[in-house]
This record gives sequence, C-alpha cells and structure tokens, in this order.
Amino acid sequence: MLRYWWIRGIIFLSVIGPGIITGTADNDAGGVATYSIVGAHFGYRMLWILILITIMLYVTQEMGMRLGVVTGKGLADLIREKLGLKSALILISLVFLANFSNVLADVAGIASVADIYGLPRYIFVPIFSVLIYYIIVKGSFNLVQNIFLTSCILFFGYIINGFLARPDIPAMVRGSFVPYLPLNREYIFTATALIGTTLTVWGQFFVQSYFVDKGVTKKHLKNARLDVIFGAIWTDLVAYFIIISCAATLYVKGVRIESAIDAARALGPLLGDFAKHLFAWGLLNASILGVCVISMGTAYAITEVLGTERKVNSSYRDAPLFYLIIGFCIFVCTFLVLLPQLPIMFILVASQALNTIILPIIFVVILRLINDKKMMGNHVNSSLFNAIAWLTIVCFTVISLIMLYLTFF
Amino acid sequence: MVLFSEMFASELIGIPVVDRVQENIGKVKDIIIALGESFPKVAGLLIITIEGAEKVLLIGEIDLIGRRFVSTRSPREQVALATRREGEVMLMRDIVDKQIVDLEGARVIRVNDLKLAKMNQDVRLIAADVGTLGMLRRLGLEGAVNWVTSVFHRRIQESLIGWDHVQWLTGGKIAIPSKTISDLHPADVAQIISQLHVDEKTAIFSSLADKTAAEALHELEPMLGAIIVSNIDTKKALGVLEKMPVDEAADIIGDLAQEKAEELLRLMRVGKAGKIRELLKHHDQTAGGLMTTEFITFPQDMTVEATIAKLREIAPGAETIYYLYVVDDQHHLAGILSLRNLIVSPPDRLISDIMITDFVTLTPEMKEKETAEIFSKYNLLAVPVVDEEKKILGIVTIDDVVDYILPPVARRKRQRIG
Repeated sequence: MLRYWWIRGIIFLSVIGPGIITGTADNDAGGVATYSIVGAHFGYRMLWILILITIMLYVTQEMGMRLGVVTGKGLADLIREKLGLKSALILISLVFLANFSNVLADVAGIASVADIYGLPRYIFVPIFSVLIYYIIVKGSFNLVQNIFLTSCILFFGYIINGFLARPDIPAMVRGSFVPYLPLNREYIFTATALIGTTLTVWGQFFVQSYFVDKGVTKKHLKNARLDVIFGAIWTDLVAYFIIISCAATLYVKGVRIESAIDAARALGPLLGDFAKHLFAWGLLNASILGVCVISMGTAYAITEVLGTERKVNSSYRDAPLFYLIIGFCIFVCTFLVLLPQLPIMFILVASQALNTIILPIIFVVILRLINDKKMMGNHVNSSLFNAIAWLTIVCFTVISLIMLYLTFF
Repeated sequence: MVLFSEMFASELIGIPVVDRVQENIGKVKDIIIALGESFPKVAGLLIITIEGAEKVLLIGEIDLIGRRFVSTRSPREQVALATRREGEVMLMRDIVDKQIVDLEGARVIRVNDLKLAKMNQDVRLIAADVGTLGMLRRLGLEGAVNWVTSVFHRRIQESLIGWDHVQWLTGGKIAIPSKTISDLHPADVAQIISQLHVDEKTAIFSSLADKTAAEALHELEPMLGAIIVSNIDTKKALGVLEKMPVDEAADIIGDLAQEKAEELLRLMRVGKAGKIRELLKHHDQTAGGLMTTEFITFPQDMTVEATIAKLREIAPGAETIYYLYVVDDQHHLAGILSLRNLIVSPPDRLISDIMITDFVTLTPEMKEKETAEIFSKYNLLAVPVVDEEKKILGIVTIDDVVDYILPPVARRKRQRIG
C-alpha cells in the first residue's frame, strides 16, 4: 500500500477543509475574548473542560458531516423536508438572529483591532468589509477555501504566544486533567460561556452545507472524518494556548479584563510588544474568518429553506439571494458597529444566550435525521455515538439553563 | 364529482369533510394520487375522522371538493372509508417541500405547493408551484401580501411548472419512469445531473439511452463523469463508452481508478480499447491528450468521384468529416482537403491536385493554450496532429478546445476539488 501513499495524500487533501475551517472559525472574536477571560480570571483551572469540548465538538460536527455526505443535502434542506415549510422558517429565523449577532460581534472585533493601533474605525472597518465581500463574491470555491485554510494556519500566532508566556507546567498539567468545579457564580458562568462559544448553531449548518458543496462522496467518509477530528483538535489546541498565555501572565498579576483587546493591551507590558501584536493580529484574523464563515453559513441555511439555488461556486447571477444575504449580514453589521454608543457587551451576551437556547433544538433535529434508517441506510449512528450525542445534548441543555438563569437573575 | 375551479393542494389541507346533510365526518390530512400518467389522478383523500382515525376517502365517494369543505355523496353512515395502504404517494408528505427536476429550466428546485385541476371527469395534479406566491400561500400570508402589492399596482408573478415537465425524484430512485429526460438536449441533461446527489445522478444516468448518456457525459466536468461511470453497472458503462468518440472515452477512462479503467478496457472492443490506450499515453493538457484517432485518410492517387463514394461508405461512423487527410504511401500527411473543395471539383480530378499543401499542424506535446490559440488564429474546425516525421497521429477538433476557451456550463456548476 505504501506505493500509493501519495495518492492517498491527494485524496485526503481533496476532502480536507470543511471540518478544519468550521472548527477554527469557532474561535472567532467572541471565542478569543472568552478564552482570554478564562485564562486571566481562573488561571489553568478550566483547561480540563476543553477536553470535554473537543469530544462534543467532534461528535456534533461529525454528525453534520455524515448527514451532508450521505444525503447530499444541507441541514436546512433536510429540516424543511422533515418539518415542513412553516416550522423550518421559524427555526431559520431564530438561527438568523443568532448568527447575525455573531457576525456583529466579529465586526466589532475588527473595530477593536483598529482601536488598539489608534486607527480610525470609520476607515479601517469598511475597507475590510468590502474586501471580504468582494472575495466571497468574485472568488472561486478554491480561492475562498484556500484563504480560509491560510487563515486557519495564522492561528499559530496564539500558540507562539503560549510559549512566550512560559507557563507553569505542573499547574498546567493539573488543570488539564483534574476536574475542578467550585459552585461559585462567576466560575460557572464563564465555564458555560466557554462551551457555548465552541459548539455553535451556525457551525452545524456551515459544516454540513460545505461538505455538500465540496461534493465529498460516501467513499471518502473516512478522510472526511479525519478532517473533522483534526478540526476539533486544532480548534481546542488554539483555545488551550490562548488560555495558558493569559493564565501565565494576567492571572499571575491579577489583571481583570473585559475583552480580547483588553488582553492584548495587558500583555504588552508583561510580555513585550511582540506578544501584543501577535494577539491583536490574531484577533483580526479570527474576526475576519468569523465574518466570512458565519455570514456564508447563514446564506446557506436561508437559501436552502427557500429552495433557491446556492453555491459558493456559482456566479452572482446564478445565486443572487445567496450573495445578497451575505452582503446584508456584512454591511448592516458594519453600519451598526460604526454607530457610537452601541452596547456591544450586551449584544455579545445576547448572542451567546440565543445560541445556547437554539442549539439543543438543532441537536435534537440532527439526531432525528441521522437515525432515520430510510434516509441514511447503514450510516445511522452507532449506539455508542447516540449515547455520546444524547449526553452532549443533555449536558448542553442543563448548561444553557444554568447560563440563562445566571444571566437574568 | 365536482371540483370547485382550480385549487392548490395546500388549500385543501385541514378543511372539513361533511356528508350530504352537512354532518361532520372529519378533516382532510393529505391527498393521495395514482402514478402512471403524466398528469397523475387524485385517487382519494387521507382524512382524520372525528373519532381520530386516519382513513382513506376514495374519490368515488366524493361529491364536491370546495374551498371550504369537501362533501360526500352518501349520508355519513353509508360512506365507505378504506384503510391506508403501504406505498401510497401523498402530495403533502412525499412531494411538497421536496426537490424535483424542472425539465424546462434544467434545474433542481424545491416544491412550495401543487396545483390541482379538473380534466374531463378526473381531478389531476397539473403543476408544481415553485414561486414566492406558493410559499406565501403555505404560510397563510398570500392575501396580506397581495393586498400590499396591489397598493403599488404590482402583482407577484405565479411560477408554475406543468407536471408533464417535471421529474420527481425520491431517495435515489426515479419515481416516475418517464422518457422526458432523455428528450432533453445532452447539455441540459448534464446541467441537471450536476445539481443532483450522487445516487440520483447514477439513477438518472442509468435511465438514459446510451447515446444521450454518452453526449451528456462529455458535457460534464471530467471528474464528475468519472464518478458516475464508476458508480453505474459495468454493462451500462460499456454501452455508453461504446457510443463515445475515442478521445472523449479516453478522457473519462483517464480519470478512473486504475482497476476500474483496466476492467473496462479489457471488456471493450479490442480495436477501440487499443486506440484509447494509445491516447492515454499523452499528457492530459496537450494536443496529444485532446486529439482523437478517428479521422479519415485517403491515398493521393484517388479521384474525386472515388473519394466521394468511399466517404458515403465510411462517413456515418466518423466523428468529423469537414476535412479529409491525404497521405502518401508511408502515411505522411501530404495535404488536406476540405469537403467543400471535394464537392465543387470535377469528378475525374485527382485529389492530390486539389488538396491544400500549406496547412497548419500540431505536435502531440503542444500545450492546450497554444492549441486553442491556433484554432482561433486560423478559424479552423479541426487540426491534424503529426509526429516528427510528419506522420499523422490524430486530429484535434474545435469542440475539444471550445471547452478550454469557454468552460461548459455544467462544469461551472459544482466544482470538486482534486
């Protein structure tokens, strides 16, 4: 078989992408902010949760991938076929709200990078918005995907930062493998935010549609699975390093932060300007990827439910609605971010809350679809997978209820 | 049996079913159709009786289908209700919200609603509603939106596709075995196929006549063609490849997995397989990879009359006969003869006297781009490929380079990354 190793490599490359891109995009502006806060306020003590998150992320994304590859349809397509037009539209409207507030948070992330360098927002943000939109509309599927993958690699900056920070290794190992769950309000609230930022509604829609659009077939399920595993591990590896770099510096000094950009500012005096720049550029990269992927995921979902044509690879003329939705998300968010007095923190919390309410519903629907023997044949879940999936849903639902309770009472 | 004008399926769902004296029997849940004709007949209604049971009310029992209620012929006690059977096709459950193939627009589209109408004595399914109006109707907003648009003196256009122009797919099988797809232009067939899921691609492709399938296969992007060929059964694949010109068949086989390609080549006619193997030696993006070995050569000493006679004999099987290639006894290309020259010349002339001797040739290593440039520079329909000794190896025809200049539509549709 060794003779064919390079052929197998090429086959693997031909399915690589969706899982890694979706996972990495989970580390968008809101994600980076959450990780920084986790590290700065709780040190290494929440690292063990990341291992659980990696498993949950793999299980949920793999189900999305399998649904897409086996049926050749996106999640929204299947929801409409299963639940009918009315329910599908109601669900998608909620998804749209959750996604829109996510895009808003990412555009705000771009704006905060402008602030840290003292550049005027009113010029900096629109330039990037126009650039992003132009690339998505004009670029071919391959170009868009290669830009995404490059962006995924740029997350290395955070890993370098983790090494710069010289973490306390014994404490790090203990934090990674010894569960620690004090019953204090702030710890639990932050822990739920940590889970809520990685498992996302838009991620489920995006990963499935992207695999379909890529035309991956059942023959390549194994490779697609590898892609999803890589994606989950890479996502949480980046998260891990963001947490330890903040834990080794800000937590030790007792610095309190509100956002990712606070973290970058605070890192400057402690680790030098290089670390600050890495953090800031990392945030810019994360925000841009987030804007692209989430607005595309939204466009996939809406056009699938309405039953119009959609594809990254079709021209504007062939899929006007697809590109209109992307444009709407990007430009309305740009406008809103540039308004003075926008309560960005409130929007961030609201989008997280919305995400945690909708996600369990989506998971239940996915499980119903994936265990449909008529549709999936022998690609239905194994009982082990079902058990893990149900466990994930139950955990997630309990967590979101706690989170909602803590947010409002 | 009376149908109150034309109706949409969604308008029927949920309305009460009453008997002759307005006694309530139940509610309509779905509509059952009988397949087999291009406009399928409505065979009955699935109703939920007031006792809460699901029963079938056959069309013969129905007196009137109206906008507000359905009424039966006989009084309530005498209405015969059938039980549900497996394998019935129901409009709301099986067709609405699913995808169908619109044969006119050559696209795959989702059904928002279905139109029913009375034809002679039957109620039939006549069209699929794929427009905004159908969607609004399903959401119960049709009236409101129409009122708003009427204020601006505009109307939302209905977009209906006649059911005779529809191919309904279900779970990788073609639900209505019809000939319609085969009647389309191969380019349209390719466009439809490129929008479907793998199983459906295979199903549609297997249902096509070999000739149509062969032409559609050429229109598809090579990688997609290869996937389809590896999924259909070997017998069908051979039939389709048999109908393809050698160069197109070679393109497809070149993209297949090694074992599959070998298997097909072994089972093909020996002569054709040999030609394909010969072509597979050349690199994909060169004139050698584009050329076909199916061309017509004539010795120099033939007369015009004899040439025409020979052409009549062999031409039906040949791909290109715009140009005839004149060779000497060592098979060196001596000249080219256009069909026009041949026809307007006196019958007793030798073809060596009327052939063109300053002609353009390609080498097998020539890149696709250069090849295409030569075609556009000299406005040619076919150009011969020759080796160092000027022996003719094959010809490249305009349809092979057109794809290089303008990618085929189906290729742009869904790109695989390889």
